[in-house]
Amino acid sequence: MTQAAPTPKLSLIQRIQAYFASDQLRSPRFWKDSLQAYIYLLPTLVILGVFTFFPFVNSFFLSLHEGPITNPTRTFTGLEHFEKLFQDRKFWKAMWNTTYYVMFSVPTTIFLALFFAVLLNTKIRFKGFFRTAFFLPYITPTVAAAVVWEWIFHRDWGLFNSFLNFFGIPKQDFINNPELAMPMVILFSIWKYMGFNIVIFLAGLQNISKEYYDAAAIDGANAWQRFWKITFPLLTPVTFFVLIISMVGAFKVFDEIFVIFHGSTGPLDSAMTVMIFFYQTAFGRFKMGYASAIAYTMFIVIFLFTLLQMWLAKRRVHYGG
Amino acid sequence: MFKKGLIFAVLLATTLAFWAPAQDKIQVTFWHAMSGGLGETVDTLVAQFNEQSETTEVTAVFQGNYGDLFQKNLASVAAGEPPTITQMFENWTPSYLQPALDENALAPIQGLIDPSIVADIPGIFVSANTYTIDGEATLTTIPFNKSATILYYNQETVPNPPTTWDELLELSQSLRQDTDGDGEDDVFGFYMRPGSSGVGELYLTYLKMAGGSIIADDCKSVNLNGAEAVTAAQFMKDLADVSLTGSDFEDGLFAAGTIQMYYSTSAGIVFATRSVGDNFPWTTFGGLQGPAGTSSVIQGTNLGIFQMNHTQEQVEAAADFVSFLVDVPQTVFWAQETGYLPVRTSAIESAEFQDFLANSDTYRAPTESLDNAFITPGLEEWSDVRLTIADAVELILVGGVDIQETLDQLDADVDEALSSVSDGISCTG
Repeated sequence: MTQAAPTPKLSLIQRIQAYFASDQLRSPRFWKDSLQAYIYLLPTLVILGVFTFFPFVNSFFLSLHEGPITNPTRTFTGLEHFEKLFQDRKFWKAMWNTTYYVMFSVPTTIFLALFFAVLLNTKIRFKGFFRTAFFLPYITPTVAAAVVWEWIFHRDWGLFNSFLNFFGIPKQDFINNPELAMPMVILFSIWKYMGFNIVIFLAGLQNISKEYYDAAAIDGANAWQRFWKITFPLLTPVTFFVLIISMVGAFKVFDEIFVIFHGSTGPLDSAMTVMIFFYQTAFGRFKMGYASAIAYTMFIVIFLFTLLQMWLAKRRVHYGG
Repeated sequence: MFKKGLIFAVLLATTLAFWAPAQDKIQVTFWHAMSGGLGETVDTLVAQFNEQSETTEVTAVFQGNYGDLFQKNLASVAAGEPPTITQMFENWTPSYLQPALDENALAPIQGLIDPSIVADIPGIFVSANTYTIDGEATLTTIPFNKSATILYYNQETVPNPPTTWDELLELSQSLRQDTDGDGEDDVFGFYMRPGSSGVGELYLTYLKMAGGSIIADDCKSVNLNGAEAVTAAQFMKDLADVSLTGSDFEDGLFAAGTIQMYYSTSAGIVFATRSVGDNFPWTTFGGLQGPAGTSSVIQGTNLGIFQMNHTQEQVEAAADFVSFLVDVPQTVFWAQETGYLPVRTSAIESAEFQDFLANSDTYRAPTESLDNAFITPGLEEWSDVRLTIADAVELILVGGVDIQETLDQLDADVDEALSSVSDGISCTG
C-alpha cells in the first residue's frame, strides 16, 4: 500500500489564483446559487451594516476627533481622548467597579447555576416547577425586575429590610449606601441570570453518556468522585461557553444599574460601571469623542479577556469523545 | 381581483379624505417633552390654535423626557431634518447655532414676533434667551415652561417657614423624631438628594444667597472656590448632616410625613398636590435669606424655531404659534394648569392671574421669586459643567471630603471645560 503524498502548502496568492482558475466559476449554476444566497443574506447584512458595522467604524473615527455632535466637520485630535481617559479618576473608578462586579457576579452565578443544574438533573420531585421557577427571572424584562428590586431593597418599606429586621438586623439603606449599592446589583444579577446558565448546564449534563456513570458505579465511585471525575471534566466546554458569555455580559452591565439608580451613577459613583460612565459621558455630557474612546477601551479589555479565556480553554477544556 | 381593487379604492379615498384638508394649511411640527397632565395642557393649547388658525396646522409630538428630546433634536439637526419648533434649555441652544454648525439652524425669534411681546417679557428671560449671532446680541428663543426653586413645607409641623439659613438648620434638627422607638430617626425636617443632577443647581442657588457669582463676563472661567462658595458649601453640608438624604423623589416622602420641608422647582407643585391630596395643609416659600439675601434658580425650557429644511412660510407660521402660546390668556392658562411661571409681565400683573394667586397660595412663591432669580449660563459646555458641579457637591455632602480642596478641584475642572468657549459669546448666570 502506497502512502498518499502530503498536500503541498499553498500561499494565499496561490490559493486565490487556484480559486479563480477553478471550473466552478464558469458554471451558471454556481452563480445562480450564489446570487440566491446573497439575496437571502442581504436584509441581515443591511441591518448589521447600518446598526453594527457603521457605528463600530464611526465611533472609532469619533474617538480620534473632537467637535459638536451636529457638525460633521471635526478636529483631528489623535489619541488625545485616550491619554485623557487614562488620567481620568472617574474612568478608573468605573473600571474598578466593573471589575468588582464581574469578579463577584460571574463566578457566583456559574457556581450556583452548576449546583442547581446538577440537582435538577437528578430524580427529584416537582422538577418541572423548579426549572420554570429558576428560568422565570431570566425572561422577566430587566427594567421591570429592576424596578421591583428597587422597592424590595428600599430603606423604609423594602421587603428585604423587613426580612433583616425579623432576625434583629437593623435596616440598611442599600440604594444610598456606597458600600451596599454594588453588592445589591450583584445579588440582582445572580438572581436574574442564574436561570439561563442552569438551562445551558442542564443541556450539557444531558449530553453526557450514561455509560460513564455506569462504569464508574461498577468501579465503586461515590457521587462526589463521579462529579469531579466525569461530570465536571465533560462539562468544561459548556462551562467555558457560559463563562465567556457571562463575562462579556457582565462587562457590559447597564440596564439594572440605570433603572435602580434612576440614571445616576449610584451613591458617590459606587455603581458607576464603565458602560454607565460611557452613557453619562455620551448622553449626559454630550462628549461623543471622549465617550467613543471609553467604548473602544472597553472593547479592547473585553477582547483581551476573551483571548485569555480561549488560551486557558485550550489547556483546560475537554471535549470528550 | 375586482374585490381587491374595490377595497384599495375605498382605503385610498378614506385616506385622502382625512389627509387632503390638512395639507391645505401650512404644516408645523412641535416636539416637546411635556408628559402626563403637562402634555394634555400642551394638546389643549395646540387644539385651540388649530381651531382659530385658518392658515396653520400644528402637530405636537411628545418625544420622551428632556434627555430623549435633546438627543432626537441633535440627531434631526445632524440629519438636516429638524422639527419646526422644539423646546430647549439655554445650554442646548448653542448646539443649533454657529460655530457648532456651519450655518445657524435656528431662526432667531427677534424679528419674527411682535416687538411689543418682546418688550413685555421679564428681563431675566430676555437676557437668558439672547445669543451672539453674527456678532450681535439677538433674542433667539422665547421662554415657555419656566419654574423657580422654592421651599415646600408642611404647614401642620412648620407653621411659619424658616427665613434664614440658621432658622432652616435649627428647624431641620428640631423636627427629627424617632417615632417607632427603634433608636433611629424616621421623621426628618429637611430632605436632600445628593446624587441627583439637580443638586448642582441647588448649590448655585445657595452660592448666590451667599453673595457669590458663578461665571466671569467672558464666560471662560468660574468662581466656585471663593469665600462665598465655601460658605454655601459648608451650609449645605451642615444642612445635609441634620437632614434625610436619599434618592427618592421628594413628593412621596413629603406626602408620607417622612419629611417636613424640601427645596425643589415649582414644576413639582402639581406632583406634590397629587401626592399629598387632603392629608395635610402645605404651601411654598421663596424668601429664604442667605448671608447676602435671597435667590432662586430659574429652570425649564424655551422655544426655538428651526429654519433648517423649512420654508420662510413655515418659519412664519411657527412664529404665529409661538406668539399665540406666549399671548397673555394662553400663558396665564399654562401657568394655572401646570405651575410654571407666566412669561409675560402683563400676564403676571393681570387681574385673572392675581385672582388665581389669591386663591392658590402655593403658586405665589415662584412668581415672587422672579425678582431675585438667576438662570445658569447658556453655554454648550454647561451640560458637562453642571454634572461636574453635581459630582463635587455630592462628594461634599456625603463623601466626607475637605470642602476647600474639593471646590478648588471643581473650579479647575470647570475652567478647563470652559476653555473651549468661543470668544465674544455672551452668557447669563
